[in-house]
Amino acid sequence: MAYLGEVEAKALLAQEGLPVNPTFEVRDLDEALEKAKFLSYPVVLKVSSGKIVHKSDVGGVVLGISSAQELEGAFRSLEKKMKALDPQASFSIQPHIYSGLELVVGITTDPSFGRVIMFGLGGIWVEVLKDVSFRLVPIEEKDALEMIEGLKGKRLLEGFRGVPPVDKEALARFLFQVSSMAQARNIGEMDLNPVMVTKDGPVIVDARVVIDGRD
Amino acid sequence: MEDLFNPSSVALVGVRGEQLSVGFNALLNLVHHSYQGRIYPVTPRHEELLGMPCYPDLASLPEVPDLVMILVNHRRAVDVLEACGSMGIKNAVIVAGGYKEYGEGRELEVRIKGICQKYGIRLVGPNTLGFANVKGGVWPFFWHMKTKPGSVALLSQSGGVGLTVAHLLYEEGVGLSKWIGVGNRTVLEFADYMEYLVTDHETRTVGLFVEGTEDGRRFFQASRRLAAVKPVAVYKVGEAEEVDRAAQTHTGSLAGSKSVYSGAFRQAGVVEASSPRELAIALKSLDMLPLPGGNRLCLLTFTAGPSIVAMDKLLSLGWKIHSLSDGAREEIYRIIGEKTPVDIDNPVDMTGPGFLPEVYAPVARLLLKEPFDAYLFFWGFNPNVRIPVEELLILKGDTKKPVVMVLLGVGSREVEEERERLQERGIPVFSTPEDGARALGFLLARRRLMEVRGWLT
Repeated sequence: MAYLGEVEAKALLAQEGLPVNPTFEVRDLDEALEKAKFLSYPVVLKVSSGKIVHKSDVGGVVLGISSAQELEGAFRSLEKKMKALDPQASFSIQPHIYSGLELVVGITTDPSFGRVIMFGLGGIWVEVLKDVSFRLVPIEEKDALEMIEGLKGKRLLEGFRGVPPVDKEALARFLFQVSSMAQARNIGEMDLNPVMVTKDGPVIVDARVVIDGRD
Repeated sequence: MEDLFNPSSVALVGVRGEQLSVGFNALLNLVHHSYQGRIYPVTPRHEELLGMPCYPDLASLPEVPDLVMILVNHRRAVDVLEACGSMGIKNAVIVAGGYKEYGEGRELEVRIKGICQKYGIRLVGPNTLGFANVKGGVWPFFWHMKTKPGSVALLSQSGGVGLTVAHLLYEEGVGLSKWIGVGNRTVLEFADYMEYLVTDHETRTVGLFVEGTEDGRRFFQASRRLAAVKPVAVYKVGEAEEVDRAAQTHTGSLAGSKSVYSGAFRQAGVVEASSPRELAIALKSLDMLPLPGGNRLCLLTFTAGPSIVAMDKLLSLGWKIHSLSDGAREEIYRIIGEKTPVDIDNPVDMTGPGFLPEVYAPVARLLLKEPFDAYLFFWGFNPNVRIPVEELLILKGDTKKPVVMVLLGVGSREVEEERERLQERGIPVFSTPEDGARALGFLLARRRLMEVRGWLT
């Protein structure tokens, strides 16, 4: 069994042709500034540590950093906080994506049914709303469409308060791809949370993966 | 599995003469349900039971029976099973409990499995009431169950829940083809029974009560194959159950077993109910009604309230309740009387004039020709007014669309005959607006599942 944090998980997902928000590991402020310049602002700074799984719960995520000056301040304060939790902690930089809609996609291994895929409304509300559904892997695109249509909050995907409607077919293809890669790469557990809906389609903004050593 | 469900001979091992004993009741059930094959009570305690000669052991039987019902305790049952196997008996039921659900019994159950594998025995149970081939009149079953022959097969992981659903169906006027208490599923699993039911000509519709299964993948494959050819409805218990394991991911912590089962059911094309009562309604609906062509529903009544109660539910279940065409509206006014002070729309509330069969029936006929996919007809019972059964049956003969009837204000026994006639011809009758609505909900759910799977032709 192997656990992949955000940077490694995204590398694996990108290799499989899934749309990820490019993310760089940075060890110090200079590296952070360099990568941010390369990516262009605004950026997101996150802690990267095997010991910190729920990053936002410990204040390990700084969103919407819009300048080098802001990044410097954010980096110093985050570094101080996070090194206290894990002296080995490192950091990552990625572009800040604006989206009106956060989704969650996941893989888990059920004791009776084996590998299953989850899809639903994501972001920080996922555990409260639990507007998610499951299917057995592998799914077909029509199963993915059904999962989308089955959301209680489906209206959010259909153009709501200025958020443009989601291309459901594209989203269904994305879910199908996730299911296929989970099967091909023997993924036992995976969180893609959030997956943000942009005008170019869904983008994976945070990810973690557990590769199964069993089968 | 044909000789399991239709054996030409059944031996009952461990049968006793006491009226309240499990074995005696199994024997009574075989006799009372007119089993046509040969019955062999096996016991050293009696010379004869119910006029039938008893045999002291399996070895002294005049033939190798097709089926053995093992009625002895959980320890002795293992030895009897071994004896069955060595004689070449291929089908058995073990009634006793106390196996994997009870500490030391675990090891006994492993032995049972081994014996069945060694000899190729198809075993129902253990820990079961048995089964009843209701249509074929074969009842190796030791409890009481009121039912009648029909086309619904019921598989239940709990005897009590299975009996509850069977009884609710009976009250609804729905009979069974088979009732199977799957018990601990040591050998025959849900999947095995479902594979058999795919081609069982006696069975049109299948109902399942599921607590849980270890081999979810096989369950899924078998239920999908079955649902592709016959409607399958399930009630899975365990709403609040959460998987107990260290979750490294959010996904893992959200994957309660119930939600994974629900996803698997949908993917398999299986309709899910949320209580024994709902399961009975789903089965009645799916067994009696043709599939609708779409989701446009028309309601007909002469009392507004019940149609509004039903509408609430129907809309949330995906039905669309479109307005009537102007032509239809005018036509209805002509039938009920131009001066009737009511706005006619859908639901079509005819008010007062509607309770006359000579008004009700022509309006119903007219609506059946309008562009709707299904119908919900209400009738308020009054002993002085004839229910227009005859007219409705004629109308039903001219349409392939599903028609559901709600008979308000009367117990089903008082209108037994009318209900029977309507139901025989494919108009299910319910006694509350919400049950009628639910029945239509399950029907639409089945249509949608078939649509997604590409099973509609």
